[in-house]
Amino acid sequence: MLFTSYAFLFLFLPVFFLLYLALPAKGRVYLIVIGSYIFYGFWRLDFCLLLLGVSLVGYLGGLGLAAATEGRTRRAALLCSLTLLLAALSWFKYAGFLGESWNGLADLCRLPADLRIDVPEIILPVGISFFTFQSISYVVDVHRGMQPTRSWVEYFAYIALFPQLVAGPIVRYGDISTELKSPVVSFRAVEQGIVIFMIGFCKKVWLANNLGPMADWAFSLQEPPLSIAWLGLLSYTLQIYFDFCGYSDMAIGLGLMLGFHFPENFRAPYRSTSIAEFWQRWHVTMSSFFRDYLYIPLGGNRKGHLRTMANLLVTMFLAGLWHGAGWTFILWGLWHGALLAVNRAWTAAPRPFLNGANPLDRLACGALTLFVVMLGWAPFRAADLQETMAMLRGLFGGFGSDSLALLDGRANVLFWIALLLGGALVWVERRPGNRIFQTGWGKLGLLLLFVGAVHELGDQAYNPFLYFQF
Amino acid sequence: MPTPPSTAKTAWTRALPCLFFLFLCATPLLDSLLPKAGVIPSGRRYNPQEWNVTLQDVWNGDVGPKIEGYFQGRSFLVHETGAFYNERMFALLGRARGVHVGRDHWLYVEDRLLEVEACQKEARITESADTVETVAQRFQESGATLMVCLIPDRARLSPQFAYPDGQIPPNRKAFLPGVEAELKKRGVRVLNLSPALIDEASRGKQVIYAEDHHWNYHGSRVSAKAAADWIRTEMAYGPPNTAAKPSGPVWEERTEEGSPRRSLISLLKFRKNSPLERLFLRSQQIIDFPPGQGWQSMPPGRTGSCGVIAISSYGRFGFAEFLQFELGRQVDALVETGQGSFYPVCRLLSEDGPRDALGRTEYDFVLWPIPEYHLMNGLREKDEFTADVPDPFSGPEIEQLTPVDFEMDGARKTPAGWITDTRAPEVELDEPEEFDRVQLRMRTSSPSMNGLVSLEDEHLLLLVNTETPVSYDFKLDKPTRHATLHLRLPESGYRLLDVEVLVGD
Repeated sequence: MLFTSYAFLFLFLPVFFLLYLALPAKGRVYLIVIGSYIFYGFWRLDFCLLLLGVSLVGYLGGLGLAAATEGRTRRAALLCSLTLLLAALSWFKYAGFLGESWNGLADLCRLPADLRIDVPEIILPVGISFFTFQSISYVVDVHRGMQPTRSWVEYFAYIALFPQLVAGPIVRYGDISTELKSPVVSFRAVEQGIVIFMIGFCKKVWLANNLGPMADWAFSLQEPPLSIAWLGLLSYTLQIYFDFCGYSDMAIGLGLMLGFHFPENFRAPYRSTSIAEFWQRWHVTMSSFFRDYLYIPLGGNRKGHLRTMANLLVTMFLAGLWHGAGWTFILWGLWHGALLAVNRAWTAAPRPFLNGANPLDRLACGALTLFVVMLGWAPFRAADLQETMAMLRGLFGGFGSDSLALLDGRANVLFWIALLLGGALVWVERRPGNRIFQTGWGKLGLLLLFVGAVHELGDQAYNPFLYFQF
Repeated sequence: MPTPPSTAKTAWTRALPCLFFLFLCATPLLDSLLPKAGVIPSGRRYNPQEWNVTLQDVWNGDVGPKIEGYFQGRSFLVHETGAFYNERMFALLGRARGVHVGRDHWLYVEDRLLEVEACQKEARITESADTVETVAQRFQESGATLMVCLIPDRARLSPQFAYPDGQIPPNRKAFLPGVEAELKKRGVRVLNLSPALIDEASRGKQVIYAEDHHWNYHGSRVSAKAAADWIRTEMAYGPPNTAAKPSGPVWEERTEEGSPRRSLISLLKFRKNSPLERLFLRSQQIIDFPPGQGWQSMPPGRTGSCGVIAISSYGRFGFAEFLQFELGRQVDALVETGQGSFYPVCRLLSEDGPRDALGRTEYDFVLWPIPEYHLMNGLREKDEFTADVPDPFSGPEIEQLTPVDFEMDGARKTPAGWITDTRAPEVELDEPEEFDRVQLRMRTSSPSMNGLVSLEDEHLLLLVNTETPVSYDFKLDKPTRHATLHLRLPESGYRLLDVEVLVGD
């Protein structure tokens, strides 16, 4: 179910919330489990079995770890849980990619035809990357000493909690374990949750959805001229931010309405002055997951410069792969890994410039960071490597510099408004629920914007959230 | 964590949640209650969906789209966003043409409902009549009679649904009869299909698709019958074919979910073929013609055809087949979709003239059905189409042209012809003598979209899949020795065959 669907807005949310209010605090967690499975089963009922299986593995893994006293047994329980979870993720997400890659290699090397394999057609369950990662974080945390829960319903509610089920933020059990026992709803929290939800909704509908078609068109061109390529890339840069950030805001807002405090996922990432800072501001819950469960266990920055850089590359390679089973995502991950490595080397050396010493220098750092991040979005958005190369070539004038006249009516007023407003917002926005929406007039304006966005939604084509595909 | 900056309670602490949930809860209630209370006219709603979720849907993943469709189909809010909002906002923003939902729940393109100024009406009538008369003369020179059918707009057939007061504005109403009278005055044979279609619609029969401006199969058949009766009289053919269906293979009628054309639905911004769009399409009657009887197997030039139909996308709904059946004689059809009404006759004149060099059939008549809204645009002033068609009667034939040697940049020459490597191949002409006429002759075999051929500011539509070479003629403003022909193609890989470049003065 999409947060921006009529069924969610006019059926699921009011009914669920009224029932939630009517129940005593202890009973709400049961409603969360039932409601979340309905929410998830709205796509495909059989995928609920997967969700159930992943939850079960994590829950039993936690209990097994708690029961095991010896180090070897604990390691075995951990390994067993992680293997099962990663196997599920790999099968659903990577089996097709690996099969196609093997066949491509076989064609390239002209291997006998019988070495080719039949690539299975597997439907990717929505949000599998997110709820699998939550299960992984749980068993690893228990292995590291966190007290596991013995209440199956609390654990199942943690994994399936519908506001963050399909696209994050990636919540760790420790973040909401207390709230899961007895979720408390207050008018103040509901009000703040609604404000944040509406902000996210407006970001998605008014900004991301109006920027998307331009990005889609620019990336679909075989030979995008310079101006169109940059306009398309800029549109996508803003689209992906407002799309994902909008979804995160909605999830955070809904969580607050239900009495949960989810971690913040975006902190004005396009205002970063270095690529390292960007990753402290962009998709924070994912980057901290990779930091805590991969980068640091690999040795982090404690084993010398070369090893640190290798760790960064490996971590970002896997982060790219997490986003999608495709060479473009791998390229994107490696690009960011390389940037982080370069950034690390640069900051370790004496720097005469790009050191953030004065406002002008910080501006240059910010511009450079935004430039390399935008370049990274080219493979991230492109359908394949060929499209990536076409876009990159277009960005550097390889297909000429035709004027914007080529747009030929594709850019309507709403697009330009979204572009300008979105561009301004990424600079001024600090956090959801910021000060302007704490005033009465601000809230009234936001409510009107929300109603308008619901209207706008009815006219827009079906626009699922970009991060659902990951 | 998004902690609010202040935890102080205000009046909004209670008001905002109340307003928010009031909006969410009230919308479905209003959807149910307002129509029952008569607050919303029934004509302002469309396509309510039945609740038909089955267990199978629950399992195979269709339950989500179906529930969503149920809400969207029944929702006053959705109607507001889909039509009312479209009418007001998008017309204002230039994002899409306005779509008006009639009292019959059908969709009308708003700019076709509008009243026209009296002087504008006369100008448009004259402009359209000039074009038709010129075409008629050209066919007359070839020995064929041009017969024009005027296809009325949906709003003309059912003004009681399209207009708030049920009346077509005066000038708008007089437009089609005005064209008919003007053409008759100029000696062009013309048939206004309005009476036949209005008569059928008044009996409660659906003759036009609900979500589309084209006639449906039934409307097509009614029109074909009227046209056949008229042609039989005008051409002094034999008695009408009274058989209900042909003795040989017959067409098969069936119903299908969704109109085969979706232009109005597209205006409502639903992604084509999406589950959402499908929910908004209705059951429609479809007719399947047996192999060999469809218009795609009725190309111009067959032996024994008495006439040829040059028609736009209206030809897709069995018009040629029905006409052939009603007439009891073989007819050919040139059906060109998406290019307006003027294009098919131009193509017929330039490629498949009634008397061609291969000695193909001489036609008695050329039937040219023209929708009213194409006439409203002056036929040749096409807002909807991106390029001019090759105009075979724009001036005297180019004479004394000389073939020249040329190279094409952005394309490679192969034994089978030229294959374009880019989307913008160019032919540079650098001649010792001055010239002011340039002709590019070629045919293409690319199964793809049309392109453009340009010289200076003149642009001609590049036709694809032409069996015989097509001439693209250009007249320069002043004599020159240098000129560049530009080809603009939607993609690379076009095959250009039998390419010739000729210049002259």
